[in-house]
Amino acid sequence: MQKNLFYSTISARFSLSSRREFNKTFYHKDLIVKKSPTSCLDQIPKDVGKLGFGQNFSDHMVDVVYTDDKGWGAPKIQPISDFRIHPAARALHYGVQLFEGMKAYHGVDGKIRLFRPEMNMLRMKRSAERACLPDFDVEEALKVIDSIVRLEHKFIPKSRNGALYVRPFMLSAEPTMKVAAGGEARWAVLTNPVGSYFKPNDKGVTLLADPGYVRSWKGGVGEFKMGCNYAPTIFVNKAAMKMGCDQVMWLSGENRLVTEAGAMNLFVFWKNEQGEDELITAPVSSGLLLPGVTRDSVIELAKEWNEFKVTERNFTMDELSRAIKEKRVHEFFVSGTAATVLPAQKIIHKDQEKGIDDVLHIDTTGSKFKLHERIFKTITGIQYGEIEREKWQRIVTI
Amino acid sequence: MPALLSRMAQRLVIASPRMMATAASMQPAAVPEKEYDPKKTFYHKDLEIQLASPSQLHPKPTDPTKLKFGHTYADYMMTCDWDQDKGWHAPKIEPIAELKIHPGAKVLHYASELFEGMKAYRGVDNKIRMFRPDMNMMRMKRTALRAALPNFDGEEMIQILSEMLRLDSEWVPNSDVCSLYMRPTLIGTDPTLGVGCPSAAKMFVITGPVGAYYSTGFQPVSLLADSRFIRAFPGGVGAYKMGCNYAPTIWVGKEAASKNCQQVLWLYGENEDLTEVGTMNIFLFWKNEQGELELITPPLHRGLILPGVTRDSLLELAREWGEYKVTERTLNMHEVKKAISENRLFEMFGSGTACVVSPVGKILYHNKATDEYEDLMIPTMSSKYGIMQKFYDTINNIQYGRIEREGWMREI
Repeated sequence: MQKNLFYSTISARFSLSSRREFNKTFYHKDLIVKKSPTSCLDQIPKDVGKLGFGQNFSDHMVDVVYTDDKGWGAPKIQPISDFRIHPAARALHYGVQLFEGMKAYHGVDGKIRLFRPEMNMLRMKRSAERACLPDFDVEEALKVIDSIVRLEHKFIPKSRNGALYVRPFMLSAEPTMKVAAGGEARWAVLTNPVGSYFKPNDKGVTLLADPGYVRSWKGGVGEFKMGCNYAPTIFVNKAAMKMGCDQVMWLSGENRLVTEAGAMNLFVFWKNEQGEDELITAPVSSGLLLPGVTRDSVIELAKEWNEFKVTERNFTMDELSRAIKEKRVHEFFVSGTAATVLPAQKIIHKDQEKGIDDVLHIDTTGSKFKLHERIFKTITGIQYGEIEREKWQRIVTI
Repeated sequence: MPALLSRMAQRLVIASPRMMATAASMQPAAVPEKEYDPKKTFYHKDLEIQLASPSQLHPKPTDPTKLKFGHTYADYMMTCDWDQDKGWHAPKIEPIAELKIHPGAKVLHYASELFEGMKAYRGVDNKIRMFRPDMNMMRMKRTALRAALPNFDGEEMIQILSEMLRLDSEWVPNSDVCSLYMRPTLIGTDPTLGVGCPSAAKMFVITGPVGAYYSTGFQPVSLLADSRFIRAFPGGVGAYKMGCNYAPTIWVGKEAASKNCQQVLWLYGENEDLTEVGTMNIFLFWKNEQGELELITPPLHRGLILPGVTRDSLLELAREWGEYKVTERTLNMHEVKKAISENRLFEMFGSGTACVVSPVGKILYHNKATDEYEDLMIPTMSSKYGIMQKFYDTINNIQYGRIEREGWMREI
């Protein structure tokens, strides 16, 4: 992860050791498990195609409470139930909240694996620092996540199209209305059996690129998985869908930097202006995009393969549009936990200021390189245990 | 379905990106003929009131002037649920209690939330009044549209707020330096983790007495001005009172506090345009380069600042008084520094519901060219013009009923 202003200032001042004397993290050894007397397993569709995303919750959740006095309390696994939250809680007014998204897979060998969950927990800690929420220990958090996955393992679809989505999240439950740090916080985990996130047609997704809608900007929090990055996108997604698009491709700044698409990172595999085949994606050092775990995995694999140039650099909508028009773009795909990788077929490019109203076609699925397919097969192969890659696979024993 | 689509199309046209800025202007929309439709709004006439038992009533503060903001709440809250199928349910006023929210609710993951801040005052004539509540309701409706949360009728809401004030009237402090802060809030509550339009929502209102902002006279604040941090950007939601505009500022506020600054002066862009201060709008009173006395504040049209009710009120008053030029235009740090060095900047102050006006005494400016911090002293407190003081006195006089002003005060 590249250092930038935020990391260097924050680590100097809010280092863990100086912050408090006690319960700087919660501990797995303190875990209290209260099992649900009943199960909703029977009500969950057996057909993974009908699961959708984020609609069916399993029986239990993790809940950990933090207070300024005592630090972290004991983690609890308990039947899923409503939070009781003071109506003045900062999470409800000022968006003081963050989350993570990861998956547990039922492997072809019957083993259950989490995919690089330590990456998610490290990102969660960074988000927590930026959101002024309390810190915690990665390994303790992972052990608690193992425990809930183990307890809910029957909810993991035994299908290569399904997984148990794991949603750790944090919020400020402090009931004082000042826009400030501190006070009561919660760390919690929900789990959902999920199918595939998108059901686009075979040719891939259609994206709306319009610089009139902006997700993140230099000096903001676009690189953190804070709830505040999502609320503003709901309305824009609605507008995009109205125009026949599946997702919004986010541009940022005067020069229209290409940053993300939907809630995913994006990759262009093209012949660059020097005539080299190159996989290109925007750099996380810009602070404009989320450092995705799938993104990181795609880059690492592509560099290992060493068959074409792999580049992280800022590129503009102008460059991309020109390359598409010159038929230099082999493939354009997005990456994320929900979909792994998803090909794109079309970009609707509107830029009122520059008088642009284009439809750009990319024949990603027809590419002779089949790069996105190879990436998809490799990553899902690792996730479902067909391919060994130990440091990316955390096995949860039942 | 066609009806839904055409409604959506209308909504989308209203708030297409280039329209955002104009939608942020403060003009009231024409009130259409009303017919009962819970898909469109909740109704005051459906209000259910559950009175508090004696044990649910809390002791009133003995010295309201000492109350800190947002720590003490009155006895009652309002709640009203909405879902996609039925629309709005009956609004309720009940004793304040914890909300029950599904842990998968959108408000807890994607900040599907927005709020308003407004106040009720006990006047010198012992009558309780709200200050321009229609302005807050219009802004709340605009914010709801941008946040993909349900719409409602502002006047119905104001009537329900009035009902709350009647029930909690003892919580409106009997002091002309205190008030009852009111916090209407709208959150997305459906427990589905897809980042999509909420299919269920909850409106709620809590209130709490707040003490004197200036117990020992005006306290000038120091501001950290560092263009490496931004609050809002074009194409974003800075013009809306959505929760998501606030969480990112907390860390920057801590950064400011570590440099002995109480607030952040939010700059934007290459030219370091001034936008807001803390959670307030900003005003300057200076002699401009043409030698005219001028009150100046950044404009709304770029969508970078919140259209404040106090901001609007100060502009309206200043234009009425006609004593100096009143300008809404983009203003950058270079101009401010130049005016300071030429002794042309007389006053700088924030404006907001909490304090009416807040004088600025100093700016700690991070010079991006040299990467060094510079102290810029602002002579607000020693200004001979007394512009800020006159605003403060006038608004206070209106709020506490010492001056009558048609259309601004809503009596209960």
